[in-house]
Amino acid sequence: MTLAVENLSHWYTTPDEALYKDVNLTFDNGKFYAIVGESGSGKTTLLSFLAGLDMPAAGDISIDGKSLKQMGLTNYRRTRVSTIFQSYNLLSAMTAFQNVATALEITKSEHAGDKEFIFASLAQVGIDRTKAVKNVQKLSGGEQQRVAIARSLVVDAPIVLADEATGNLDHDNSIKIIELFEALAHEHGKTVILITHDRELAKMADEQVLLKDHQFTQLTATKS
Amino acid sequence: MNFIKRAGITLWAKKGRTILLMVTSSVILLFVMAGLIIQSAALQAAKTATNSVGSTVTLTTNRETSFKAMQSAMSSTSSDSDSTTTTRPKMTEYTTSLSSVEKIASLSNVASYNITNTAQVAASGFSAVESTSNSMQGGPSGDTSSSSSDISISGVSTTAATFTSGEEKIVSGRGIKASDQDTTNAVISQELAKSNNLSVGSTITVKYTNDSSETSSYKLKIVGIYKSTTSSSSDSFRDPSNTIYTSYTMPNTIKDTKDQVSNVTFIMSDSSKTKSFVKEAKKDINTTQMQISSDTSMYEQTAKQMKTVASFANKIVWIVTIAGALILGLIIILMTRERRREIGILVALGESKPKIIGQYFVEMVIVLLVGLGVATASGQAASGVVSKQLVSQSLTASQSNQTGANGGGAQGGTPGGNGGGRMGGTMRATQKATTLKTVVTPGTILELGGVAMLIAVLSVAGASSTILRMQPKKILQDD
Repeated sequence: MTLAVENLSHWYTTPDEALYKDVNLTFDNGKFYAIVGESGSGKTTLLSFLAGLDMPAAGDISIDGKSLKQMGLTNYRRTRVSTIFQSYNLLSAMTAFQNVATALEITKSEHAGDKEFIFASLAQVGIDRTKAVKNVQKLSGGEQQRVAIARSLVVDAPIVLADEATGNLDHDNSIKIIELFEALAHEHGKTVILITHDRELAKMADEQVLLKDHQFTQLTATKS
Repeated sequence: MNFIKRAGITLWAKKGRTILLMVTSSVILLFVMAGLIIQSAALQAAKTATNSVGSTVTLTTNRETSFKAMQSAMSSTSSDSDSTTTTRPKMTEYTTSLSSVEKIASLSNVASYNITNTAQVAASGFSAVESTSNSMQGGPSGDTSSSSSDISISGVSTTAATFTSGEEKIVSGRGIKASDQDTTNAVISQELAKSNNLSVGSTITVKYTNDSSETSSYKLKIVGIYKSTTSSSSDSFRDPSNTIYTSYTMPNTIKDTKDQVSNVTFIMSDSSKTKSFVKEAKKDINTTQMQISSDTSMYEQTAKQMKTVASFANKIVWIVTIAGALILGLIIILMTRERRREIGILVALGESKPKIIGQYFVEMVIVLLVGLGVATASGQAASGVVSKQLVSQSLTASQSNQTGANGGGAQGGTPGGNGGGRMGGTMRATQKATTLKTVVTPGTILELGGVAMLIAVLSVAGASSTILRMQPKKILQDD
């Protein structure tokens, strides 16, 4: 499966003040990508297009040649992509368990309603049963982020987008999450795209996409 | 987790907001329920009150024809040069046969009827009650007939059917019954009895002079004494105390008009069918000499009053419903703006906006169901108070509009003449005590449920456009 960005341009006011112009990128399944750039460079905006939350002013995004416009953004969000947001974006009225269950229900996952699957998924990111039944607002920032990660992973979407997914985690947990992303890509054949400003984490990806001065440069990362 | 379950979780998680919404919806639905109860009670009260008010139809001498006949008689008398005496003009009292009356009474919608025949006679062996300026209180043995027709014989079917206004009541003995037909039994006034030392069992004699100046005497046996609160008059024959009640056959005997009736009052069982009854009854009478008239003004007035209340209540229901929908709709729009992040998250997860609107609708329905329960329980308690107020106002309005001449014997007539029957129709309202039991019926609850659903739809519809226009990227990035 190939996720392609074709001649993508975007501006908020006029084309002369475009955020970026004629961006062309490809993302293949089974690979872990990192999009790196300074704060305010437009990384999150690109992620919103890749997540199907918005359409660019010009250009297209397609999966195996099929445009997202044709697919329908709602359908794309439900079936092809899962997103881990920088600000977690958990449903505040619900518990960790209910947040994960909601995602499974919306995406019509085969595991919808499977309580043990949900508990196991939360446990995988370090959220035990006691914390799983707590309202998410009673969890720490790091725990909330792990719940958001679990919610994103359980839906088994072919494309996983993560916007600064380790921002609130300590180093060890951050490494664990990155390793998890690697496993998703290499072992489960998913397309994992991490948005980050942390160059050290970005080096752990198979390929890096550098965003600088409104220009994207796709590189093959050299892992250290 | 479908949107229905999400609705429940959200309501439970935000208990404070949920309780406020439930209280608001309860108040709104309580007002709607009150309006529905009032509307239902008013319509029922209209039906009950109008039936209890009733209407009467009166069959009596056609005054116009009688007056013309009198004028004609006056003209021929004044043109007669041989006339040396001055005769007083006479109003002809036309009559109809008893069989015609019975035929009319057999028509549908007649609850009962009361025949009234009259005759003007002179007291013989006793004195009529006079005014204090011309007091001539004679003793029981004196022949003190001061006027040729100072006593009014009011022949009725029964005094019970006549004494309905409360102005007369039997204080000794009994009243006239249907079985007193063809008898000389009589009921006299208390004043007449006291002034002549008469009592139940006494006998009095009256004299009648016909058009041929022939005088006949009739002995009446007193079987009862009545008391009247009607004020006296300076004219003795008009003084209500000088009215003697007998069976309606007695005046016929006195005037030798067997099986003739001069005045009948028919009580309708269904006031709404009065006009059709009058139309049918006219076929059995000589409409030149007799007139048949109805008075449905009280029925129509009461019906109009109740229908006005029902109409007002209906307007209340609509006004409160629309206001309620607006209030709740505005609350939901405000809540939607507060919950935009939640909406953005759900959309980002792949939920469709119509299902999110569906979740809001389910939340609203749950809130309104609780409000419906509260309004139903409170409405049951309030319905008793509402119904009592309504009936009280209804009866007060009916009583204040009743005319004073309910029932009573025939008064007046032309002195020296054949006497006159009661002219014109007289409203007799037989007010029944009405106990209106208004309860919250399944129908009322169903109506309220329909209103609640309408409020839910309208209020969520207002918020729907906000939800549909939301841009998830903007929401999630702004927050």
